[in-house]
Amino acid sequence: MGTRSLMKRGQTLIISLSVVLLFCVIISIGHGALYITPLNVIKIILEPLGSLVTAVPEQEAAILWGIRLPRVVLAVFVGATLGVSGAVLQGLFRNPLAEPGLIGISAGASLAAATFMVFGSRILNANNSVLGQFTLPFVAFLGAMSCATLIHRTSVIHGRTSITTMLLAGIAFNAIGFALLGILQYVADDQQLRSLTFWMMGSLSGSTWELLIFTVPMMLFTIIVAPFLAHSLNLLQLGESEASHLGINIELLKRLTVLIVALGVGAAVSVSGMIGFIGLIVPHIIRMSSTPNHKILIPASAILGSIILLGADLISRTVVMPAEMPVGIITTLMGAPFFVVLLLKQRFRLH
Amino acid sequence: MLISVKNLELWRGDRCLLTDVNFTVDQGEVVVIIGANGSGKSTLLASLSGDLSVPHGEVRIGGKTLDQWSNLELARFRAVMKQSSRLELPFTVKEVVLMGRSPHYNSRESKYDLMICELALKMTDLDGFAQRLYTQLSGGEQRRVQLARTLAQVWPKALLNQSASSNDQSKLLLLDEPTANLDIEAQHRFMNCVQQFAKVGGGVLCILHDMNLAAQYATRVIVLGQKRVLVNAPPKKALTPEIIKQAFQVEAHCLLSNEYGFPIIVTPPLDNSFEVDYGRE
Repeated sequence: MGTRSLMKRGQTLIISLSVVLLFCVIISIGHGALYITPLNVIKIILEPLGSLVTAVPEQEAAILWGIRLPRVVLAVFVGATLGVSGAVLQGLFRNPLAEPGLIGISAGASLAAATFMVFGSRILNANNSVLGQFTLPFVAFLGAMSCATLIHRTSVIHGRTSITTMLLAGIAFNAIGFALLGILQYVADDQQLRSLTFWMMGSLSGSTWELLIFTVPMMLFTIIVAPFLAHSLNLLQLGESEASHLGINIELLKRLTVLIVALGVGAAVSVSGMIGFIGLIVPHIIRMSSTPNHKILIPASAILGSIILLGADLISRTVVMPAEMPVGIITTLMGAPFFVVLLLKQRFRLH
Repeated sequence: MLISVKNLELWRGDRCLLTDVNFTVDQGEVVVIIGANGSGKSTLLASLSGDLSVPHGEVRIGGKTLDQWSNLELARFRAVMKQSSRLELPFTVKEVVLMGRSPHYNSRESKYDLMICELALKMTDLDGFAQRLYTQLSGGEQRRVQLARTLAQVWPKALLNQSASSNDQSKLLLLDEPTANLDIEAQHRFMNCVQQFAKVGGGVLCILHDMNLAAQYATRVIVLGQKRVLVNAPPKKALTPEIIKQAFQVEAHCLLSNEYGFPIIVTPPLDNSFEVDYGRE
């Protein structure tokens, strides 16, 4: 009966988070240079489904479909991907400090993006190449995947992935990546430096439906596959050999986890740049307020990640209107102190 | 034959730990391994549980070599408890014990699994602990939860007092110092569980340091020393002063009491001039 009630509490958590998310989506779509009332937001979104809707200003509909919605959709998926990835990586590493950056995604993506920004225009002759607006995201994605692959390859010893080696290799390759990035920043001109810095602070402003078509499936893959790893990740918390004595194929679990995180976060980083702290704190908030059981932790982290990124993005594009603040600054600025508060609270509870 | 080991040779790095290891564990047996620190007990157990690959010699579990088992089938057949296990997340005790049942259910535990979980908690004297958080238990209590989890993994149908059919497939327990950290009552309570497990057709291979516990509960004792199996015999024959001297370099008296039917091992005070050997583990 105990686990039943636990699962029930978890389901309640997930349902209430979903309601909050829906609420946030509507609010977020409504706010901006032109305010759209929540009712109108719902009307416009439901319009294609059936014609129960009466007249809504044409202009509002155009802004919603063309500008607001792609951005909100991106925020929802990037937030969910970061939350889920943080949860499964912390589970895999059995380390509360693990986050997607650890397997080389941010280092690889930033390095590739910086290389492209500094040298790319000379090589590819401006952005009007075949890939057009996709060039930068594509390059960043390739960078993320290659760095993640490199780190994973390094940590495979006799066909087995060593988690400790992966942790250390992650630190080493991140250091190399950011040192090379430093060189690029040094040789970049002012304009390049500015766009690079902006990219590295993370922003959702680049979202278009075309970009979403390529990146959302990858992020969706991560979000959908992750819950299937929940059971194995729970057992892994007992220890690697304990989990394998319970019948878990540890090697498959490790590779699958690294794969889905690299794909999803690689896609997320490629369109939104580096958005800090969500992957780290979201799983902690769920664990501390509810349960470490991955069956609840993973879906709840997805939804909470979306909520937080939506909120942060709303702040980033409204506080200094008509300009925009990089959303990565907001998430870190809100996330880090909140994390400290959580830690203090937990310390007082335990002792 | 639940375990059969033939001509096994074990190495740790470039150091040979054991050679020419041959033994079997049958249904209904509690076989206890004893030996000095670093004599290869845990390495031997690791090679039986599949943590270490076995380059020299043959290990068969339930008649099959380890390669022939699928992970999941093996998990349903034998449970392993290691010396130390670190779980640092606040799972409830019930969640941890149910993890032991996980090879037996797909997405969700059955009533049967929950019943076994409850019985395993009762058996390890953890009634009323189900909803407690693992991380808030004492070391000994955590140990008992791990024991309950291990027992739950291979719980014999015959111990579910209802269907006492004896054609239940017999199962295997591999235990590495299961009684470490336990108080005296919990130690005997646990060894009692192990005995019952064997009585209904299971087999147990268990590393112990306490020779008196071994003498009391083992059907057979394997003593490791001098890089080999010194003896493999019932407690009365295995736990003799000569063998203890060979394995541990300690003088011991073995008192055979008619009242209990098992030897009691006492070590007199050591010579004051003994040298501390820091080279040992």
